[in-house]
Amino acid sequence: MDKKFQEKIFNKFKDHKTTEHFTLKKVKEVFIPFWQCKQKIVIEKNVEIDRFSKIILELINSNVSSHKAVCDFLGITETDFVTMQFHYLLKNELMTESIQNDETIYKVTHIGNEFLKNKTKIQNLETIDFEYYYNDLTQNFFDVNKRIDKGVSQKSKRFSGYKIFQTHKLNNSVEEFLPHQNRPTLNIIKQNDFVSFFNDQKKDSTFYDFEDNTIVSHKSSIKFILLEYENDKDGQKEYEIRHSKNSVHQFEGHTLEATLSLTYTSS
Amino acid sequence: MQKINDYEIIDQITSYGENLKLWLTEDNSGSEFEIFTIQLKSEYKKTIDRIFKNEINPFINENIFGVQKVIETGFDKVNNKYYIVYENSQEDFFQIEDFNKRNFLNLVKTLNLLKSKNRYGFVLNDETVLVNNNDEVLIKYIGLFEIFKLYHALDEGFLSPEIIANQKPKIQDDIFAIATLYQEYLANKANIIPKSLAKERIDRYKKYSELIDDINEIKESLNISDTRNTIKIKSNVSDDDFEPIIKEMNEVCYWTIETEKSKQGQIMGQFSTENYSGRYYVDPQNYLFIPYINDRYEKTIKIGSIANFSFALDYTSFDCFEFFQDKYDEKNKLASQYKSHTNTLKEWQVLPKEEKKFIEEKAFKANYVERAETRNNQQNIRFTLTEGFIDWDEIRKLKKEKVVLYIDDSEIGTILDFDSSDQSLILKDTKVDLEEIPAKGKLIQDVTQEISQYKKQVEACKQFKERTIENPEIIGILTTPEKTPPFNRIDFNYDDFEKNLKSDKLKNDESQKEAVLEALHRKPVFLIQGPPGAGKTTVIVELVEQLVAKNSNCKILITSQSNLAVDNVLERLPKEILFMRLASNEVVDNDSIQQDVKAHLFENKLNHWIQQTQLKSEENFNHKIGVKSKNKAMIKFYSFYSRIQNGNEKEFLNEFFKKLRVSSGYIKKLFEHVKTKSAIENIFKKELGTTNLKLLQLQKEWFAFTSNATTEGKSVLNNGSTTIDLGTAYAMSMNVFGATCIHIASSKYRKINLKFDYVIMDEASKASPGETLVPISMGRNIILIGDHKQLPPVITREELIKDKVKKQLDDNGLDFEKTFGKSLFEKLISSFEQNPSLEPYIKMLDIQYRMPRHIGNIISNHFYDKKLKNPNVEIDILKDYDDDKSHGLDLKKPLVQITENDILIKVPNSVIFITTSNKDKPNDNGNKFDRKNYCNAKAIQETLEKLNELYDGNLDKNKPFNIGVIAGYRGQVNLLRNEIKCDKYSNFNSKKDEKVKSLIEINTVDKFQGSERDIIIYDIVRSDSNKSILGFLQDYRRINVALSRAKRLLIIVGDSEYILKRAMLYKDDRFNDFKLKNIIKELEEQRLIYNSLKEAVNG
Repeated sequence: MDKKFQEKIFNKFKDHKTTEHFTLKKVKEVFIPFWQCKQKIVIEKNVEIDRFSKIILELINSNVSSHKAVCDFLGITETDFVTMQFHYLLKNELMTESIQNDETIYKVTHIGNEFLKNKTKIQNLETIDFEYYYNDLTQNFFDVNKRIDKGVSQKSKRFSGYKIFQTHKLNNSVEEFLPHQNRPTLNIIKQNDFVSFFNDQKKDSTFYDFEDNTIVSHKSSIKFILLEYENDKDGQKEYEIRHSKNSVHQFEGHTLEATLSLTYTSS
Repeated sequence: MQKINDYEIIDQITSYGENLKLWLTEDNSGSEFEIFTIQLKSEYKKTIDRIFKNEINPFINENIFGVQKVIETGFDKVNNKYYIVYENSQEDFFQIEDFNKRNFLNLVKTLNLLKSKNRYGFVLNDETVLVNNNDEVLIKYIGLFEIFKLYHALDEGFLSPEIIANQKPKIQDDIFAIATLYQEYLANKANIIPKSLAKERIDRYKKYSELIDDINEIKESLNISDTRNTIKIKSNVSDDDFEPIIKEMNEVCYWTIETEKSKQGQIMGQFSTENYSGRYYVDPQNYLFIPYINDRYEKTIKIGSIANFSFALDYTSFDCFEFFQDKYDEKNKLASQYKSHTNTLKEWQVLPKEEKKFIEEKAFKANYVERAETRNNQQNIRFTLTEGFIDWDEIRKLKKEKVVLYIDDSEIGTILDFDSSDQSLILKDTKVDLEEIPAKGKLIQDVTQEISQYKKQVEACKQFKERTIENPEIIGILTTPEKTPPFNRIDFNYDDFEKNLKSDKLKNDESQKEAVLEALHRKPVFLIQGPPGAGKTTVIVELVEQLVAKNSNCKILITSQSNLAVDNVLERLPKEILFMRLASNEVVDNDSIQQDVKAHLFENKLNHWIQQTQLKSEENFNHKIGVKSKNKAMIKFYSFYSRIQNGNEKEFLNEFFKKLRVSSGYIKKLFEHVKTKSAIENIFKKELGTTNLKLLQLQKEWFAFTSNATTEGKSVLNNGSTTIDLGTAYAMSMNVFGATCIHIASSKYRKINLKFDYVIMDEASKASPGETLVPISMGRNIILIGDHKQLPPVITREELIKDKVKKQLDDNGLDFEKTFGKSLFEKLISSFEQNPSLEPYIKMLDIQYRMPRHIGNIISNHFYDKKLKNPNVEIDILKDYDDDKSHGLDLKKPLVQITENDILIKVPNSVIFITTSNKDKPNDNGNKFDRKNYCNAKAIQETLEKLNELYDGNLDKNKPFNIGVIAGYRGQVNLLRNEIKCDKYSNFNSKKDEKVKSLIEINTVDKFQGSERDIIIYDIVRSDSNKSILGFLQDYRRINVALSRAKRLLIIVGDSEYILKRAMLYKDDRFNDFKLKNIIKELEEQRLIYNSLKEAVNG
């Protein structure tokens, strides 16, 4: 850390805790440990009618209702690969099929018509790759675009997001790091917390299940300023973790990270 | 009924009414399978096809825990039955008698897994849900619910009221079925019955996770309730702390054993449960020691087996030490087998690894001591290079070529500027922040593209080592072919097969016929040796047609080291076969794809499908409503009207009337008085009808949907389980893919599920082991086609690499030539040939159709131990063979004597040797790095002049003759190209679209492999006035390739005296037979050596 800058910070914060009898002892920049995680999640999604389903259902409603007639209209063979969509419509009861004079005849169901009018949605499960960050200190999930401290939501609208560094690319001999100690695994993380975090992140879908137990996690770090205070009476130490220019994309002052500071002090 | 497709019926297991039956069968190798058959009723055909396509075929060869594996599906035309082949479960699985928490939980977990893939609605009853001794569940007939329903074969006792009321199944109906099955067991257990068997779906469980939670509440041990042996566990934590772990161990415990003992000599391994995992050590005191455990160890779960014993903290009920000792010995025995596989794979990895390393080492590198953002632009970074850096020319080159520079694995940017006076280099638009760039480090040139092919080879070797390839069964065969188990006896019915041949070409060729039939049945590895002109491509095309006819879902990869070989096969595939060519943009840009195949490149083909679909749609619609020409005009005009909808009414009307002015009289008359948009709309409605207008709009929508197919994520299809891009779905609907062995592994195709039932590799003898492994890692069955008597793989072009690899292998007592000089094809064929019981793995195509009989005879005698036959000219369709292969020259010696089928016969002469021995300075330049022979070049020039004179009317022929001039040395090829102006020989200049193209090509042997010419002039080049080592030509495979390219006439040019009297071979070489000398001797005996072509012809 640049000495001038260190002095500047020191002077700025040296009196912050004097009323509580704490004296500022050290100022340094450190990398706080986080985990960049990737996991396959099965999600539930309510989907609206898609373009192709709409075409087929409307065709049937326009009296182009036999399998052959629909395929002729589309210009495809009766076994063309796109006919997989018919299976989707039948499976979800959006239409029915019946055989009349050796011809497959479709009819749009009530749900199908509701679906056409966008009055109902189809529930679909799909597996997605979900990327998120895990805070090694607080052992919680977090969104890099939102402040770690809760209850600062009014400010978070302006918050530009944390600057994440891949730890292995940082220079060990020059920089100072807090060690990574809590690699997230399915045993460690609390499913309920994860589910609410996930649902919060992905507003258009709902958590259904983990696809498997694998969490791919890589060490990552955010650079903060660490202020070490010492109690004049009993020597007890308290820490403050504050933003530096390198912590966030758009620096708006040496904001205090209360949760991180508290966790670090008590650790 | 005795057979279902190729499977022999052993017994009927069960039936569900008259039409649905389950059989026990065996294939021709004696393996047993269950086959479910569905009698076809014509009215159900489309429905069954749809269900097979969407609900059953996606499960083929998928391993899903708890689901009976589907091996293949198809339709048996003889019996008029659909069939599904399943893995045989008869011996291990049975109906549930002991309903318990453990098997119920397993069943629900499997259903939950399926649901997470949008799969639900199964045939669930006491006959379809089975268990084994470990309470593992097996669900049968996955995807068959609708078919059971169609044939009224569902067991009503298990159906929910909704299903009985004819609704489509949901997960609540599956829950209803399994709760019915477990009803007795679940009575009085938690709240499960009311929430599973409620009358209304809405009152039943909505998710399996809710049911799983309730099952977990059942107060019942998950231990297997049998009399399993017990093992005592000791740990370094208190019994109380260990309690939850041992509880889970008694539920399900996976374990593996290691091949090495601990430092203290204990047998050890890994174990894991639902939530815990760790190491165990077997103590001679008859217990297991498990140190502190943290989290689950994923790998064990996947590869371990389930412990068939229980665990306790206080006693062991059997000699567990001996048990683990036996398992340890077993494991080591297996491991030694694997070790030899792994060692071979390691060897194969060495060369691509070194090639990769070499390129990386050769790449530009520069150390820097400082980095900082530039003053003007934070995205640009200035690097100060170490003092003494001098390679500024290289930097200039990299800047010009816009080469990306990297630090470690991070892309940094391209060069903006540099200044040698202050040792600085500025990279622009850098991709990383300054903080992420180490303060000191090394900038490296990006060589991703260059090393990509070697990376793929190394990756393929790794996949083989880790057994993560499509069919691990082939690993043993490829790495230790000598230990391959012989095939079970198969009685082939060749006569029957002849009736089913797709191509008549094979009818008169037993070896081709047999090769196809045997390749279809001898799995998973089969080799076909195809000497020159023996019909390899014919065989491959027939194979593809047979495979697709047998199974319309079959996925086949046609691959080879070269683009040309891939295209040769694709070009000949019939139109009905759905195939797609995959190639990199560079290959397409370089024009390396054959013209006829270009239309089958992914994007071209997809665009063609879009165009054709839209065209057909328009045609069909016009046909329906537009029989009269005025209707057609109206539709066309409406189509224009739909396109100008945007903008305000004034703009719209302007556009509209502009168009109206140039429209037909009929249209003008209809719209001449309109003033508003709504009036226009009303006329369209009146003339075309509201329904047709609606249909036209839908057609427009459909065209927009299909047109977006080339943009990822825009047009999406869904079959209820899988969502997929239209473009990807189109690619996946193909039966055959064609790509080079390296390109098929391109990350471009990660969305297409590139798993193949068959990988057919042509010219396999030219590929290195690493190259061969890339495509075959994707196949269940492999057919390698090649000829080890022709050119071998190019090992490496860099002597440095060769030396390095040689050294590495020498250190391990291995021979470079043996490891890399041989293709995998040759390694396999040599092993199989040595053991008669393994010979069924190979088939040689033994009739050649390319060369005249004279040349064919020479090739067979000298290179194929007389096994390669000439076509039988006695057969009616081959009676004109000699005429068809005639060169048409009036030779002084028109006939020669050869031996065919042990009989001396006379055939047309097709070979002339033009000797330079009597010419001035016949010797080559003696430069082994750039070998040239001016005398030969002159002789060839004279020969071409004479040929041009002799073939005066060549261009008038339907197919004018072409000439290939082949020289073994690159230096001589360059000389010939300089000395010989091909377009000078007017009778060999074809004209097409005013462009003149010479029919003469001069190239090396390597470039000619796989192709043929009417006339071949082979330049031996090598000549010395003294006795000397022949060198490079000692490898007779080159001579074989060069001479066997000729379709009509072979002219060899060289110093015959040198070859016959002064040339010598290296004694220690593996090719110690002087074949070239033997051939020249034979030609001398036949008096076919002349001083010039002029001397050889009359007149």
